[in-house]
Amino acid sequence: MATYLQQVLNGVTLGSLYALIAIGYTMVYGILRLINFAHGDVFMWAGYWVFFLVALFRLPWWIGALCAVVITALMGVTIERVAYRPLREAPRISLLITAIGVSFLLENLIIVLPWAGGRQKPYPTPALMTQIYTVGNVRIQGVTIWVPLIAAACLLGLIFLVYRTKVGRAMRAIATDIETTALMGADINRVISYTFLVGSALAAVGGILWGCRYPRLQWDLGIMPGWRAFTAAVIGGIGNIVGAMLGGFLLGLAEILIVAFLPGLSGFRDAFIFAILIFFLLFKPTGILGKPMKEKV
Amino acid sequence: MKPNRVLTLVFLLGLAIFIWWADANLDRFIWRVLNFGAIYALAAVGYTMINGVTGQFSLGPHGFMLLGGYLTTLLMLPLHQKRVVWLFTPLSWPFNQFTLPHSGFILALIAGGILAVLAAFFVGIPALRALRGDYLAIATFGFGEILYVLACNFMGLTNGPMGIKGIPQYTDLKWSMGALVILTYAAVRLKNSSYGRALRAIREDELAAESMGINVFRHKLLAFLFSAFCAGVAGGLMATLIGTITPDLFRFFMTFYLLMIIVLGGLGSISGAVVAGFIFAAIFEALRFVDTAVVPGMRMVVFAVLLILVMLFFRRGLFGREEFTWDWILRGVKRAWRWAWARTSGS
Repeated sequence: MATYLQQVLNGVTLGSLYALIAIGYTMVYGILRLINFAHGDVFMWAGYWVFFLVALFRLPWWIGALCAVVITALMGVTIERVAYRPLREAPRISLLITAIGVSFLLENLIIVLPWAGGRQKPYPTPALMTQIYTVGNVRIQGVTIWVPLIAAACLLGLIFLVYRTKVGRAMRAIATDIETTALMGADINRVISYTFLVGSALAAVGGILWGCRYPRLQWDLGIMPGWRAFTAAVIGGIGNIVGAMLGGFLLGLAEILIVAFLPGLSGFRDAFIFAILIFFLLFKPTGILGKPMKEKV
Repeated sequence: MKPNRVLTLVFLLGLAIFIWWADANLDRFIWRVLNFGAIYALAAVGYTMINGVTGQFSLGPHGFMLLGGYLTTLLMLPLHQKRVVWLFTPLSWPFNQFTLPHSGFILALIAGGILAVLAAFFVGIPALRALRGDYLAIATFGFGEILYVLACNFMGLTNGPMGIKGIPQYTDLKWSMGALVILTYAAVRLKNSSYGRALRAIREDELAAESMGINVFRHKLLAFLFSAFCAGVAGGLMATLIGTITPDLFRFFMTFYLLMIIVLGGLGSISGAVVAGFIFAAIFEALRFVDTAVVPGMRMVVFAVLLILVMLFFRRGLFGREEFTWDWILRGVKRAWRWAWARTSGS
């Protein structure tokens, strides 16, 4: 019983991290119809920013983490401004190719940067996260409590932003029909910038918490979590924010439970992720909660 | 015979003489770069057929190269080397029983291409029927990643992440250039045939093409299978050029290279893919000093920035969608001649 509970908690922790990353994919896809290849690398950069600010510049952890969220969010906005906005009118495939280029750039910048380097770096984890609580015979690490709590707070904030504010309404309008929204007088570019800001900030929170859970930094850290989160977004119905959260939790739980109870298969887990992704794309492209998209002539 | 055909024959003859001379005498470094250029160009010709000509965005050529590379290796690796490499897990039947002699190299390459085609068939039938645009890209990418994971885990066939060492270096310019010429010829013929016109119609407007009576799915599949064959052969050539393969050799960055090549050459241009393949190989080696003298990894930063810049400011690429023709060269020569003539007679 204790193991089950512990594994479920681990699954919820991982799932909330996936949910945080998946939001960025799903929001950008909903608005630009772009699979933002670079999103997983933005997530990875957030962990490195904490490393730079806390381990190198000796800032207190909380301040460093807050700054990292701000910097990463601005990074996301800059990427959109420099690399994606000039291609707004171009074929969507050009946008995808550029996104792949940005992704490679972000990954290799980390390798090249003198303080980051190609080697693994230890992540500065605050004591709160490593503390171990014992309830009965269940031993719970601080991360498994704090990560889902912080993630839940962020997700609630996001839902408030999207469904209860003016910017959120503009985002939903653009996702429905970008041209009509522009005709209604909404500043499309500003709203898209906000979307990248919010998506990257959530990915940054995810990256910082991910570092607390798995305290090793490496340049390819963002690739697989990024793909798992993307899969989560597809499972939940891409473009659908609640769906992305749901997909993230489902995928995180499934992953932890499979690795915990069928350890022989853990070497294949990335293959499973992609198999699930392809399966959904082929047979249920709208995901669990998404609405079917009509083919436009 | 048309003058253009004569020029082509003269060019091929010159190329053959150059290859015959170069395989024996050319500086080994340049020889290697040319080999890599031909292999990249070969994979890129196939890749531009599906991505550029047909406009169906695949991100899976690294998976097809992996299949071709491993099958060719398994068929050509000498038996004594097989005993050395598979120390921990024995090599599976039937590859532990036999190895092709050097004369069977062409069979091994074709087998690699055919394996890639079979895999493409398996992926393409559901994926090309149901998906387009970025969903197709993700599905093919996922397929490549699944193959990578399988290659890491099926120790009995691939020796896992440790890879396979000591592959005899059978690839030389005869093979790489030969394969490139043959498959480029096939690609040009395909592009200019009625099939090719259908492929281009699909790129321009899929619904319109379908309503004109084109079987969209079958044409897409044809282009996809062709690209897989090219990638499989290129993978085999690459394995027998480098001499060591690991699953990491055929990861997503390989597709990234190919994407750079076809974007640089102009999406949809076969001659662009060939020219850009060689340019890429040359830049890749020329920038090696950046990696060794500055920081390892700097080269990839340069390439990534280059790709973004090309996409932002030079989306047409070198050739756009046009092809190299002798007429184009002749016109240029004539113009230069007239210009020079006017200059000399005028002054």
